[in-house]
Amino acid sequence: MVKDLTEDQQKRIAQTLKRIRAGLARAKLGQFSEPAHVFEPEAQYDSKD
Amino acid sequence: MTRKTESLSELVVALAEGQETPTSLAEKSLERATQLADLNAFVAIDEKIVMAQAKAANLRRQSGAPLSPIDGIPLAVKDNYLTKDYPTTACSDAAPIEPGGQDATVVANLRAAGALVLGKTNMHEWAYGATNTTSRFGVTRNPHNRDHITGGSSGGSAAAVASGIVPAALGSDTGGSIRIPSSACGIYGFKPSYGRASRHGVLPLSWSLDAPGPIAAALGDIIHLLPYFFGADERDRSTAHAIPWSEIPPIDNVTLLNLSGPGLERSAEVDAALGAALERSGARVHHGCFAGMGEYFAAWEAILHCEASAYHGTLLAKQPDGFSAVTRAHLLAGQEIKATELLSAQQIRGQLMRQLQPLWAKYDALVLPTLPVPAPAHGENWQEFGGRRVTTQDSMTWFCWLGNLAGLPCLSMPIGTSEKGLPIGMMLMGKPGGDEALLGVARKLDRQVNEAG
Repeated sequence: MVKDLTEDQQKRIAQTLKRIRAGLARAKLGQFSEPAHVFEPEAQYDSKD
Repeated sequence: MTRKTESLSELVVALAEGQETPTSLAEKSLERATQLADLNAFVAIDEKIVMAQAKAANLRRQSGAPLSPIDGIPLAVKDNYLTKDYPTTACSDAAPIEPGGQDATVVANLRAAGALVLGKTNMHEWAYGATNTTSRFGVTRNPHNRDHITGGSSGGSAAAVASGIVPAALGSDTGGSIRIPSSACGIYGFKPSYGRASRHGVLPLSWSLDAPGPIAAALGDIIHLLPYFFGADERDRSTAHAIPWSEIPPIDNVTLLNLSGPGLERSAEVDAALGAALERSGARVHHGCFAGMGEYFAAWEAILHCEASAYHGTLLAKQPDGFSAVTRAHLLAGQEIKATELLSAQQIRGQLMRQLQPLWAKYDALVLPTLPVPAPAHGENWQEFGGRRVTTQDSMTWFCWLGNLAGLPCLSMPIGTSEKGLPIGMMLMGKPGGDEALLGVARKLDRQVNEAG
């Protein structure tokens, strides 16, 4: 954790993480619930980058 | 002070019939922007640049060769879109990007059609907030009441349209940043389906949640502008398989699902306005309790903070003081989220899409208010509604983030005003990829709700 944070910033970080973790923990996910994928391999080949 | 904004469609006719010229429109917009400087809607306007664009459009029209019907119409651009003639700051103190001859794809598309960039609009720093009260250029004020916020993060764009400076503006939306200020300012805002509109040249907040879109004074103007946003762009991989824009389909009967349940509370005033609008709409309205908002919100928040942290990590390490205290805290929170937690969030995201899937066969659109409360006053840090007490920031994104998590097309449209005269908006959410169908539904409802009688 970064050291030069104000008390308010530390509180915000802790509360945000607590809220996220509590929400994620409540989810009932099936054995085969695969994550939603943003990555589409074929889309990568369409780029000229 | 507000006035009826002349719509893009009205200006198209005025230009075609010679009642206006590009220079007369540019002069009016510049004059009005100066008169309404207290809104703080714009962070950069250069009169010389604007008039040079207008004169070029004049010449094209005089020679009978306008680039398109919108050639010569001034539009405003959110300050996170790259523009070749203005710096791009995302309203942050950290590393403003000087003009480098590059336009975002959407800006380039609009310029190719002859649209004028009037200037860059104020926004919540890095689009990382929904109030427009954190900006290196100061707060944005609501044209309906200066003591109230515009909402954000595209608050300057919404204020510029609602006050009649421009007929339309560009915004971006990661958790409601187009729809929130559109609702708070009483106008229309559209977030396209993820992967249909190019994000190239729009500074990212969260790669898998961001969408660029228009804000306008009339629904027809949203429809008019969307072809400039849509289509495959080789510089934005998310659009590699984008469905091209098509005509808005006619629709006879509309069936809506009005959502409620824990996490979807709203004030009595907003609920009454929504009920009255649905009554006027003539649509068949079903009611449904939607479960899982707490889990879905956690997934959205985890993805948002992780992706924002990854994007800003290097800059944050170099210039920690270039970010506001709250944004810095969000970014550092994102760095603390574990990879396994992010994957759980993505699993939950998949679950949301599966929960929504059967609804698209039964309903033309899902309905919610855009905001649970009318635009809060500046300085109000908390909102109370429906037995909840939440921060003003959370109240602004209360409903909207759901559409980003599932990649849905979403529209905010005005439906009335509060007792204090502040606008109230309704949000329609459609099937992913079904943007045109959703706009067909909206057009039908808008005629009944806002035009009939």
